[in-house]
Amino acid sequence: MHKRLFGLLATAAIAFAACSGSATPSPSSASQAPTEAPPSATPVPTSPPLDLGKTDYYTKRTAPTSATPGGTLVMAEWQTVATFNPYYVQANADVEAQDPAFDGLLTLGYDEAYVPDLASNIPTVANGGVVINGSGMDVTWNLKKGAQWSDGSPITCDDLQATLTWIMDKDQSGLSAGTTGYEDITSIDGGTGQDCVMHYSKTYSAYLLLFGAVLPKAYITTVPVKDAPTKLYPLSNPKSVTQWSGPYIPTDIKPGAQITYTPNPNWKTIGYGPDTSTNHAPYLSKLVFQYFGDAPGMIAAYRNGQIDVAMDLVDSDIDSVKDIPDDQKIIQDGTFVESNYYNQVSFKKKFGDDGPAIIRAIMETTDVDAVIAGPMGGSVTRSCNNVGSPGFWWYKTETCPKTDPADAASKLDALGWTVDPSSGIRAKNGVKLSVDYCTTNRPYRADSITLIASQLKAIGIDATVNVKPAQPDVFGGWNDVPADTKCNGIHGNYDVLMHGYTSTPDPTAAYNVYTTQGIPDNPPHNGQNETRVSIPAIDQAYEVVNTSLDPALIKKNMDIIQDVYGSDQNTFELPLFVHKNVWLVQTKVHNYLGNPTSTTGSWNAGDWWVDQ
Amino acid sequence: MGKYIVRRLIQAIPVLIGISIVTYGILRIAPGGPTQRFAQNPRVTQAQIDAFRVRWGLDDPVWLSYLKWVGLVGEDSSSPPPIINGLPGGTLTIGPISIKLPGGDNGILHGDFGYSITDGRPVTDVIGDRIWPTLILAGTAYAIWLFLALILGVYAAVRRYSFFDSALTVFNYVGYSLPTFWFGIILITVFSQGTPFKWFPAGGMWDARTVPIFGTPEYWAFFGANPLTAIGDLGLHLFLPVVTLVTVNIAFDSRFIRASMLDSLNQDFVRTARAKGVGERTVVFRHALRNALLPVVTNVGLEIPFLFTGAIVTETIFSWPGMGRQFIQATASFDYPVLMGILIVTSLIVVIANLVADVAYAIVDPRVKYD
Repeated sequence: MHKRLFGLLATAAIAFAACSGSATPSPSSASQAPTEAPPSATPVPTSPPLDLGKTDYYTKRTAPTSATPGGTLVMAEWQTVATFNPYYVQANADVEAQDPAFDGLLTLGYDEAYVPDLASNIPTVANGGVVINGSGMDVTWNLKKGAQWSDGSPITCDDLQATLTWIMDKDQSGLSAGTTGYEDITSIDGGTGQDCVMHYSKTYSAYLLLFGAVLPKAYITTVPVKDAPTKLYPLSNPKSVTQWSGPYIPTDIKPGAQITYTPNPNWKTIGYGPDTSTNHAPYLSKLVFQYFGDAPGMIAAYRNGQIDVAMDLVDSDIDSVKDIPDDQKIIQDGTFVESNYYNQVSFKKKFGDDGPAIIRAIMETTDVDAVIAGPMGGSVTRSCNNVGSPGFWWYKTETCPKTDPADAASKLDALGWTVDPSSGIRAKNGVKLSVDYCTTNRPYRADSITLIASQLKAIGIDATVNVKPAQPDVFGGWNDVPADTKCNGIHGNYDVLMHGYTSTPDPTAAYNVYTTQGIPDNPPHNGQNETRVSIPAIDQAYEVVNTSLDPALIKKNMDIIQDVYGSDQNTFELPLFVHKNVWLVQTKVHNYLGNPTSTTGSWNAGDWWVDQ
Repeated sequence: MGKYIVRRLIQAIPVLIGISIVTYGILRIAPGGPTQRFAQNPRVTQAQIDAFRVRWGLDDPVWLSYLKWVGLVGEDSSSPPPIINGLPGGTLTIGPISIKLPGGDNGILHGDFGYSITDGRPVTDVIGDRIWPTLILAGTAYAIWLFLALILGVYAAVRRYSFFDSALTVFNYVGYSLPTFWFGIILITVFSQGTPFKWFPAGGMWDARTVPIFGTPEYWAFFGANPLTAIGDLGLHLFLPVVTLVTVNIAFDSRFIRASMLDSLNQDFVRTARAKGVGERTVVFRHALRNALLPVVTNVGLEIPFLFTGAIVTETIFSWPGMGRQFIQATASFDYPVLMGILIVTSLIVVIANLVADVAYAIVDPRVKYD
């Protein structure tokens, strides 16, 4: 099943390939000691331990005795699958196709709780699964007793070690998740047993979702790593792979058209959740993954009855499916959020010390509800907190920025930015209050900032709308575009930038977006702090988040970050809205619950069943 | 004629070289590239991106990369060796004798079209997977529209200015103006989702629930056991995309045949035949039509590449797993090896098709002689 890593990568690639690109922040390896708990001491929780695995899924899903085995389920995507290797994933479709075939240690469920897959435990400091060891840590993973690959051979710690060795191989290239986190693991004990201890050279707080898939040692060692992109898990010949861990085994693939899966009878040794007494064999006789040329084609096939589940639809498709009964639609707030990002450096350069106040005035004038009702057609949800998506640490800040253009105008007046009667634009000491808005060429974004520009014009702020291609202009990397590329986020060539970003429940994910360390001006230029924000309180809090293994402490520091985000100190980002995920599911399909994270709706394929 | 064919084939070589150079150059200098999928992912370090670029030869200068793609320079070369060697490499074994050949084994000169950057498969597999569905769709549509165009064009010419001729003219103008994507969507809406006309599938090439994947051994086993079911299923899936292609493309050919037929019917030999009392049917089909088909033969030859390149829009609308759709996907992901493979194969087919058309014209019309 799929994990944050693949989800992060999948969504980033989706955003590039199909949507418009988004920043997918990620944690960096923490190198500084936490300010609130020394690394050598086990952090003492300041409140009762958080239950990361608390979920109603195990009671919500159909009991095995009530499900009807057999039948075929056809699920469909409108993008093709590029790879079957979970570590080379490029887009959402890759994740959805791999989910049924691979299991990792943990997955994220439909309610964003952690669900044990191959592991039977969720190791934390509180339950003793994580032990701080000097500057490092030891994480104990108990694989499910008797867990087997599809060929009947046991899944052991050796497979975990082999996966790590494969990832860190010097000939590795094209890893979509990079090696962050893996490079901190010095060894994995356990050998051919199923109780594994991972030794980290330093504390790494995002350890829970690091192994999104465990690869079989007996298979991956047969292919040189340098040939892995072309010869490991080949799309053209899935039958050459004999060891799978997921509930369904891909048996036939027509790249660009269909993948056919058959049940993995040994998946019953794995199941979902810590309690293996409810394990069962996969219910379906056959699972089919079909690709369609585009979303309308897929929706048409759904209406025709050709497919049972239509995946990867978004809010812009809601209008197209309004005729489909509500009991056949799952619509959830997703994790792809849109914001306006304000370049701290350019505002300082243009407007001096008035920069932050001008940004606050712009934020106060931006009528987000009008943007949602207008260009977005009311199909998205207002968001007031884009630091991440709902997780154990996330809260909906009550201080959603208010809209009060009159108040904003009066504040600008007080600062001395007076309206020029001839042009209607404010100026001060000969400097016009003129800002450059940038965005990608997605129509809804262009329309949104055009609307915002008109709102600003009404109070005397001149906003120029610049629409540029997502790639390479807006999202091109530091070395991918000339340094003066207009509207490029990494180079900071904008005043206000509107784009999307895939938030995640991983608290460390936005470290590179909001901390001084994430400012991309310094080598290696892969920071994502496009706004160049630098707030000590946020920096300090993220250092704790990045190194702490105590969920309660992490939550406490994420509270600090979110408090700043929701306060007047926030002159770097105005959250706009969150996109929705939409699935169409025929009524004969059971236990399909979707998943708002980029783990995708295929996370629990083993529990799906159909009426016959 | 033989000399002409050989000369044309030799002339084709610089044409193909020129096409490959221009195409490769445009692809490589266009903004964007396969690494842009990593651009928004800070977990991927620059070192990893660099390793990816090295792995796929993206860091080589365009000219060196081109030479490697052709096979004139070895895959591991960082600069041309003193002597560029495009000869086949490897080892030639004849009985007990093994001779090491001096050349390389990479590049199209050695039959190696490379691997897809997107999914790692050999480009030949990528193209091979898609060519048969395209041949089936495009071939079926082409055969039908050519046949219909022939009948309609001849009848319209014979019944010039009649109601039928006028109706066909209107139909042709409408058909020619129809955007393929719009018409395809209309057909899907009416005939695969509309009530009571939910007769055809909305897309795809086979029924995922009951029929194995097309082209797999399981499919052929199923076909052998249930030929009528398999053909029926294929026919159901073919119907709407074929109707789309036929409707939009019949216009040009039927007008062309009509014009050619009119020209032929006005010739002196037709007047002579009528004056000699030859029956009208014989005049039309034996005398006029055979001459009218001469330019049509050329046209057919020029349309042959379509059978292999596919109809991009139609394949996308109907989710038909053919070459056209593959081309779109490869373009979106900057999959250079696949794009070059498709473009070179297409160019080769166009060159050969033109030659075939010219040769066929000479065969059909004895007045045409090539030196």
